[in-house]
Amino acid sequence: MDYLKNTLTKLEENNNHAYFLALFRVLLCLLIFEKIIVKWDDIYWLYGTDTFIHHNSSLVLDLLGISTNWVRENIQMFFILYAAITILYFFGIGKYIVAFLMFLFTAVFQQLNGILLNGGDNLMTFVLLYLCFADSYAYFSIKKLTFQKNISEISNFISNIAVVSIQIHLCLAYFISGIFKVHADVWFNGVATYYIFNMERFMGTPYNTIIAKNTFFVVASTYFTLILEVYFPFLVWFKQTKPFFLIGGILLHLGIAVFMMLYDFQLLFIAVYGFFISNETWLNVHSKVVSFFSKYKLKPQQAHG
Amino acid sequence: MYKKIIIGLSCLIFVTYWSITVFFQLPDNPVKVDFMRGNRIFEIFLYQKWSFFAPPPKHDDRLYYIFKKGDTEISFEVVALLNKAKAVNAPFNGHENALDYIISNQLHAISTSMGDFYADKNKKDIENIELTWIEFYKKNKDGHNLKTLLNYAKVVAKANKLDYSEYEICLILTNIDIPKFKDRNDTTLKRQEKITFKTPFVKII
Repeated sequence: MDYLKNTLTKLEENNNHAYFLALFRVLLCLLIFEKIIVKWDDIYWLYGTDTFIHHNSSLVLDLLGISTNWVRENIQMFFILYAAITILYFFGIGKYIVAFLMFLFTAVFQQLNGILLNGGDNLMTFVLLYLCFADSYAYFSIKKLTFQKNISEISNFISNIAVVSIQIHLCLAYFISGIFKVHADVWFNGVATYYIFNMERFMGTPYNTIIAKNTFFVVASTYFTLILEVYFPFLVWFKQTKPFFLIGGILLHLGIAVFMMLYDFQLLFIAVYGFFISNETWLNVHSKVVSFFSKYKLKPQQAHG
Repeated sequence: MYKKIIIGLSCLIFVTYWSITVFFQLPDNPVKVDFMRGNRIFEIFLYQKWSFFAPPPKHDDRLYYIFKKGDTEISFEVVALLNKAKAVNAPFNGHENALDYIISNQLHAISTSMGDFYADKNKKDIENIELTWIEFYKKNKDGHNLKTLLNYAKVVAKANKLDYSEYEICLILTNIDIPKFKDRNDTTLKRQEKITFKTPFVKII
């Protein structure tokens, strides 16, 4: 009981991930902005009415009483608004209201063409939902939020459980993926990556087929993936095992990006890892980066002097 | 006082939300099966799928469009070309990647529906596979997946300077097996291509 009380009090005292929440908000906005830019040339046939794709309507728009077809007819305007909200959120303008709009627009954007979605999009929706409750404006924001003591404690508490939710969701994604894989023969027998590397759809390099002929590589990469996904949710919380799982996870996702051409998906998963690093560590990194750049800035001034 | 209420309520929402989410993400166990209605409602609002490549496909897909006018037939295969373009343009392959997701996801959705369709039938009923395909086509022709693939024939026709309104069109879906792991070094092995579904010739509007 005391342990529970102490934990709750700790969650109220500070926003334990204030720095990375802000950095993550900025990274997420860049990722979304990149998506908007990449899709810009294709928006009419991917999301509009002038397309060969037979679309579903958007649940969010239906709930809001807005016609999906009307949004499709004005798809360019929708994208401009979405980009504008992303920019506002990037600078931390509008705080929780813009965070909620960001979630809504992303949900609509995804539902306008559900066929395009992958695991990264799925995780992004949930992460944005949790960010609606988090104070991610302590850094990289035009203006910080200031509260009275009581409200500040509530805000800290909710921000902290929002971060825990992001962490749990990543762990859930890995664990479910892991146990479904264990159930499949090719994963259990250590040959799954052979088939993945040989799929034309995901042949990211001309070397995929050559690498996949190496028995040691195939078995090691298959079991590496399995062990990482099944054990990550349990061992990432401990100081001793955390670095192995974070580095292992980064290697796994970089491998998927290079060898399978699945890019944005991996960036989001890697970015979420930042929540497993303490605020103090992030602040240290921040001050080192700032001092590095200020030194760099000084040199030309000294030279001029 | 209000601080305690808000924090207590947040804890309650947090625990309830995570209990439901974890429960509905577990594999189909007997307890979950008892709550299938709840699962359907959950999926409307909080849909998520994390079983990536479990298991990975053991084949590559092919999609052929056959354009027929009188006795003349012209055929095009689209998936192999698309895969090639996607690899060549990586990492700046956003266009090809989007098209690949659209085509491949329709192909997988059709093959899943075909699996369910076969499962509902006796072995005797599917002795004549071509008749089964026609039956499947009639049942699913207004579905999103077949409609999207049939509509894509217009894009294929345009790219090949054909007037699609003059042609009847047939779709053929095939699988090409990836050699088994034990046969990976067998250079004499030819990859088997199997037709998994074929539509009748139809006019598209």
